[in-house]
Amino acid sequence: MSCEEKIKEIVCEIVGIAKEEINPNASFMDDMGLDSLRALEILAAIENEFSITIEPERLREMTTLNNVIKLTKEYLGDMK
Amino acid sequence: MISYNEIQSVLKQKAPFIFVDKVIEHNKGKKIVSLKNVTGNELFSAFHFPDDPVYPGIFIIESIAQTTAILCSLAMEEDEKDQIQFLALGGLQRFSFYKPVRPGDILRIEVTAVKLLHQMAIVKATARVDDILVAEGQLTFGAVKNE
Repeated sequence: MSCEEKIKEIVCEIVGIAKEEINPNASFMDDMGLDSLRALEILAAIENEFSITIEPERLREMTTLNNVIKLTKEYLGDMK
Repeated sequence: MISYNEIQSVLKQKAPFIFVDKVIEHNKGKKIVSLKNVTGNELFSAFHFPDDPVYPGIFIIESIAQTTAILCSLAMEEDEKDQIQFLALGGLQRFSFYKPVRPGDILRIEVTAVKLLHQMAIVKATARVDDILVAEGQLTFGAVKNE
């Protein structure tokens, strides 16, 4: 499974939405009704899955699936 | 070790709504282990259930939540503590109960921080009686700030 697919799976599980239904550019908070605690859950799950540590202040950037993918890839890139 | 008297001063809850009797291990901001003695003298045993008292699962969750509140409180600076009214339970993820807990049991609550931020926390927790796992799961908390 690709990195993008795995992130999508994590996000969809926490958001409670089918993978086929998620709009990668939809806002977690405005469009899906997520709160900051669920966003933190996404951050923690991604850290655990990819063995990375994301600075807490970057949490505010995790507003859409695409943004989460972009941020995660940035950290995975740093590991290379 | 953190005694019951110290726990009372750390928690925002007051007796008889304190569900942690003693902290036996503490690693600042990372992990905490507490004990809760379940007794037949507690109100639940008369009603839940009269002929076969079972400690309510929600009380196990409250024990975990209060243990987490102690972990967070001990990890905060004094000025941070002054800003926070209390730590609110925001969600449970993959939380399961495995065995009933009864009067006479000693609950051992182990809480490990997954992510501890200033205003939010995610922890993994286990509850054991005599080394047997009775409940486990992940919990999410948010701090309710003073107005």
